[in-house]
Amino acid sequence: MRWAGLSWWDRVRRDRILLLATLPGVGLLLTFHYLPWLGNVIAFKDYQPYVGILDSPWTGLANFRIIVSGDPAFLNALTNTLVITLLQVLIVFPAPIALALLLDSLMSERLKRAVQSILYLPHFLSWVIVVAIFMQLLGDGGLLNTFLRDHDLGTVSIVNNPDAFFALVTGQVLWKDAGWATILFLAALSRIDSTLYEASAVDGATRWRQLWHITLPALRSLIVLLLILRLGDALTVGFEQIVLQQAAVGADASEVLDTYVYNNGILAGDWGVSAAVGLVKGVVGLLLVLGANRLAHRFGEQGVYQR
Amino acid sequence: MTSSPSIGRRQLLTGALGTAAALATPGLLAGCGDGGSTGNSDQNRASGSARLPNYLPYTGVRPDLRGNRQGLLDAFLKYPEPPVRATDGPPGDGGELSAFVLTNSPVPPAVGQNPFWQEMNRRLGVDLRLTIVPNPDMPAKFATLVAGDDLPDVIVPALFTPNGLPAGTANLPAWLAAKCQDLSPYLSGDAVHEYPFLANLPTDAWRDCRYNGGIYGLPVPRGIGGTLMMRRDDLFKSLGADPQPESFAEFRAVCRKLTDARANRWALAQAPLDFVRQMLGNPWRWKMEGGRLVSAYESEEFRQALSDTARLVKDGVVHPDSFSNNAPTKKWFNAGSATMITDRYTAWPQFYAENIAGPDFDIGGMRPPRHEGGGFAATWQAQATNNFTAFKKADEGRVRALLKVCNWLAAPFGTEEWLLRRYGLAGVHYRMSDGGPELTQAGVSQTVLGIRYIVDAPDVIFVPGEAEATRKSYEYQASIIPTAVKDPTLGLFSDTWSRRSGQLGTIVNDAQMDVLSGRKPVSAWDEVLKQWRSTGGDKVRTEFEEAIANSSD
Repeated sequence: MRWAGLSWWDRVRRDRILLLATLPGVGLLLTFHYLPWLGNVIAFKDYQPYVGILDSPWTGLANFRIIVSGDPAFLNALTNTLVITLLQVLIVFPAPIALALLLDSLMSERLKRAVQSILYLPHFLSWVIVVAIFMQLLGDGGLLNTFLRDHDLGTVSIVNNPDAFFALVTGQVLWKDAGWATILFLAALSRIDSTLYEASAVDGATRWRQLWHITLPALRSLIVLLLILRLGDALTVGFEQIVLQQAAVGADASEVLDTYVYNNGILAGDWGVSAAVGLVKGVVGLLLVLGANRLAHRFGEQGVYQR
Repeated sequence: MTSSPSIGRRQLLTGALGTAAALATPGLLAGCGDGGSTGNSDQNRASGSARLPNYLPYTGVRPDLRGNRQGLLDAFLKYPEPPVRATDGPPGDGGELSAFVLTNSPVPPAVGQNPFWQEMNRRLGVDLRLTIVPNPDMPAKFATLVAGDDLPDVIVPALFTPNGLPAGTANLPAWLAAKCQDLSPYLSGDAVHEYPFLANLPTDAWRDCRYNGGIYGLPVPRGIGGTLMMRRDDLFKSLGADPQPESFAEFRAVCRKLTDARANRWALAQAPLDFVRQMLGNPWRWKMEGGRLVSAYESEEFRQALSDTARLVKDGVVHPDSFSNNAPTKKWFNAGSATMITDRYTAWPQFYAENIAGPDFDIGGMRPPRHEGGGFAATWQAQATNNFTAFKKADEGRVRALLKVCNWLAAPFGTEEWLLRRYGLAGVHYRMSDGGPELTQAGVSQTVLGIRYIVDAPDVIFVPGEAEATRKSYEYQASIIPTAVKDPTLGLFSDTWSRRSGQLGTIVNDAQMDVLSGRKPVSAWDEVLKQWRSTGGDKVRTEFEEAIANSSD
């Protein structure tokens, strides 16, 4: 590697101040993001807290057996995770794009700001609050059912109904985060050259044609970028949100990989197996990101980073 | 199945896991160990039964209603006035005392901004260096502490997971033996009399501190009255419901009578599985039958209790949101949305403190009737401790210095020391009203240092400012204590149980919820039982049977 004829060492000397300035940040990153990775070693050990990480006995790949042996609880968690991921990619991911387009078409700046603020607000509530609100409203003893009961209309079980669980969690994510996620798209929309719309209007393009030929192509690289990043988290489907609602519907309907790791590792004390599952999950996520990125490059997009 | 020769040498090993049970309701914790590891021979090698401290009751304070050695707690109708001054001068030597403690409250302000902490330092004559850990973070923080190997003077070993199930305590005995102080030379037999307030702690509580044939810590004692079915007597009265049904059928009828969904009122805050199990004579965890341990889950009574309780849920007499995580059951009970709740006896004062129903508010305890009628069924004895505290290995002088401070911390109810430790300074942290201390805002935030989990005075029954409630709580306990059944494995150690209790508890819990909420039929229990046994239930049975055979109790 050459850079303006300078050797690697010369460049280090030239940029030494800048490099020094990055040291605290790098140190922070190493200490809190990379060093803890070493803890993953317990995936290969029979870890017992009182013995400590170093002194716990090695067990080779025994902890990974649960992943390949088809343990029903693990498979159940995997299936639920994949279903929720699918729902999130198909429903939750496109929602903010549509919402951003709608917002963008509002003419009154004032109204737009007001609507935006209202849509952003739920993002700042923690999941504990959101889950509590949903329970207060839709619970079997909540507002909706109390109303129905008072008017002899029969009750509907929503938060305690295993069959409605996927719909419930998807709905909650939409309500909480769709508004917030519009920010990026609105920023991208505002950067579209307005002369393009004017020119197309002169050529007689309808709103739909403008959307299809100008707006969406302008958003394309952003959409691809976010989709790739989303894929990296494909197996992460909202731990807090789900763990808070598990008891009401039971593990069969609600166990996902993250809660499986928590329930088995932290609660049941099976640290090794949980670390193994977590590790595999991380590796799969990394592979998905890299794979999707390569695919994006093939289609001529920038992806997460340039080649 | 361990039946190696090492068993012969194996002596009593006690304590660990039962302790973990204390916070959770008994029913949650049933369960057992796992088929994984083999026995605890290493941990047992050094065993020999520890001689427990000889009990010497403190006589400086006279309770209004007297308890007994069977486990009935003393009761106080009001805080003794003036409080007894039980010590003279600070017990400490001015040095540091570092401690790793837990708290169930928001972490209090640091010593610089905390007048209560400063006052404690002054009165104790030590510089308290506390690492205060919120309960849910305990397992992780404790693992870090052990891994770091830089131990403070006194350590509360993490024994609970965030949902109240026991955390893995496997190898705890080995860790104690390697890093912690055997206190038996200072506390066994009459030696404890040098520390009069420690000598005043009940013997059952000390049982949970025995490991490796020694005494490896100080107990935080709790009453064995444990969990009960609490009832809103004011609501029962106004609705004309029978407060003490005499069979399951009557109980069911009462529940139906109390429930009116349109008035937003349900009879029960939770599915009363444990209550129904008690009606049927089902044990808490284990029962000795012909020299063999039989698990509560293996009996016909358990299945019957599952099906009866599921029927109650189906009847619609249980609050419909009761299966949710962190269901606000206490709020429902206080607000009258639920007329009965399963809770520990320690919740009695809490309900009065948070009472929103006005002066009529009245709580009573319902005893479980025999399922088919004909008298009362027996309840279950609870763990006699909340937790215990280990000491880092130290020389004799240091250990004695620490014990002296801990002795002060165990000063009983009715003393000035107790009042200071729990409520702080009069006028600043609390105010007396109707004979009971009431925390001020400053008191609420500053006093929760977690030092009450280092060692505690024997528990008492005391509902501040509510003499009548205190009396009712005492009378309920007096009625159940004589027949309360002690689990044969309480205070005993099984390595597999200590490793797998969390996992087994989860298996049982999940399955119970599935059946009770009607998601699965009772017949699904067979499969669960099979899984429970192969995951470790059978192995735990064997280990506990050995422990019982070697026990000196």
